[in-house]
Amino acid sequence: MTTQMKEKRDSAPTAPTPIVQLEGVEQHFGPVHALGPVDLTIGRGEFVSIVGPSGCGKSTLLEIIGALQDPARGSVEVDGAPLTGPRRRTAIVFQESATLPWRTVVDNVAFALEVRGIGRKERRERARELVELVGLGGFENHYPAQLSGGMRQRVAMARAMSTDPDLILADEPFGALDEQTRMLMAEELLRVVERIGCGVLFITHSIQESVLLSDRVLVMGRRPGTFIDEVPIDLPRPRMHAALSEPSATAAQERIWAQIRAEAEVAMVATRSTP
Amino acid sequence: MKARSSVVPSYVRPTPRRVAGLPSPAWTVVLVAGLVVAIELYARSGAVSRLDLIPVSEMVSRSVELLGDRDFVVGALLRSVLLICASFTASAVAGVAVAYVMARSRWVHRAVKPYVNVFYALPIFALYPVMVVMFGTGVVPIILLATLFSVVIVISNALVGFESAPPIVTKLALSLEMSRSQQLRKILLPSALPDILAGLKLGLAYAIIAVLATEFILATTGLGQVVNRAYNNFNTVDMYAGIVFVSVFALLANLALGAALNAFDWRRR
Ligand SMILES: Nc1ncnc2c1ncn2[C@@H]1O[C@H](COP(=O)(O)OP(=O)(O)O)[C@@H](O)[C@H]1O
Ligand SMILES: [Mg+2]
Repeated sequence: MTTQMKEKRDSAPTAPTPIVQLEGVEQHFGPVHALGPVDLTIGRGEFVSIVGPSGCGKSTLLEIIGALQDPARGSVEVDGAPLTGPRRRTAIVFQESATLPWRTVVDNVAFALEVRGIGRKERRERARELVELVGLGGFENHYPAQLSGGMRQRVAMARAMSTDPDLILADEPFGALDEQTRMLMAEELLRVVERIGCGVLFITHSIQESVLLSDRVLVMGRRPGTFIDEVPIDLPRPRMHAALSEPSATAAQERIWAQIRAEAEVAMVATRSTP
Repeated sequence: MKARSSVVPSYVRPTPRRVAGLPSPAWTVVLVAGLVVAIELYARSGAVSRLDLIPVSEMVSRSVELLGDRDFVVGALLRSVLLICASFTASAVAGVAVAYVMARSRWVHRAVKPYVNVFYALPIFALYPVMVVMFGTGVVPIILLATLFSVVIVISNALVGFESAPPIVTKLALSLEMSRSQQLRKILLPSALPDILAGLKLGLAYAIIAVLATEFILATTGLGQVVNRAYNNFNTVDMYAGIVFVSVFALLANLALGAALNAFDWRRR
């Protein structure tokens, strides 16, 4: 603890420590080199997206930062401290809906608080506010089976917000949704995140989505994934869907697509020649 | 109205609400009633000896009479009900516990699963001489056999439930740093509940079968023994009355438990 505090003071007294700092992170599954080495810094309140061909190690990277798996190599620091286990203020939104089908919307949103021992009255009150915030007012007592995929993902989002996170890790959270719902949800996420002011690592396979949401888009090459490009997105906030047609946005999309396309083509040929 | 021929195969079409002018469930009743009437007429026609078959009306009136018989109610009915309850409770608790341990430990799973798979291939009631030798003819061997017989179906159903918790929910538990007991109470048990309940319904049926069958071959009293004794004494009326009583009793017990358990099943909400 004391050495960290000292480091903080020594390095840059004015600039706050980044929320995420990775150096030389690698992951191997047996003989499979799945990821890295990767360096990554996410500032406080910064929205960073990762796009890349499937199987390149994006989920692996996210799970390492979320302490769901340990890296084979490299250092992971979150909020200035080396990661030793799941953090309370890191919230994860998974791709599939991780809602609990036997709980109502409110009780699903209150789940993380319940696990942390918050009293029934307090957690329900907080959950109700969040249900309103993600636009599910009126559905408090519905069960997940009675909701659409988009609404279920809103429930998962509200649950992620419930523990006052300073870092949100989202792994293709809208991947299973249709195009229109996805755009609406993306705008919704922006609104909510801007309100909370937390850092976000957002994995997506939609280039549009990454440009619309992010301060920075990182392009990951094929497995073992490393970052092959970094595209800053200088669009004013708050952003709406229309921002995507601005010249700088279309240029960014073109640039990202060119990189991914090259990677995906090589990956396809590689998989074909090694059956 | 003429039914038009459908391109949808009949086995995937929903059951029609009415068949030949009657609601579908009514046909179930009609079939049973028809069978009862047929037996009644056959027994009354004189074509069959009263030693072999008696009219259904006599079976029913005698089994109702039995309910007023103190010896029957206390010595046979109550005793069998208590044995069934004891065996069912034991197999419910032990079955869910064993399944949980199997789901948690790969080694226990590997060690126990083969026995669960082949268990119902064993003629378990053939064990009864061993039971008599070891525990006599009291309640202990009955409860042991009935628990053993019903616990396995509870285990295999609960195991399916525990193992079908989606991996994404397991990741959620991991990311929230839930303790083992929290995972059990807040994720594994509720997630497995519908399957556990299905196992419990079968478990009760199996416990009833096992208690009555064991009483039949091994006990000196109890519902099963009432039927057995009547049979040995050529008391056809009591025998059939006992059979009717036992069948109705088992049916009602299963329906009641089913209705009670369904209230907890979140898949039915
Ligand atoms: N637990 C695991 N065991 C073995 N291989 C894995 C495991 N998890 C991921 N992989 C492999 O690592 C690579 C990266 O996976 P992942 O991070 O899920 O990719 P992405 O999310 O980018 O599609 C893939 O080739 C995948 O097959
Ligand atoms: Mg993935």
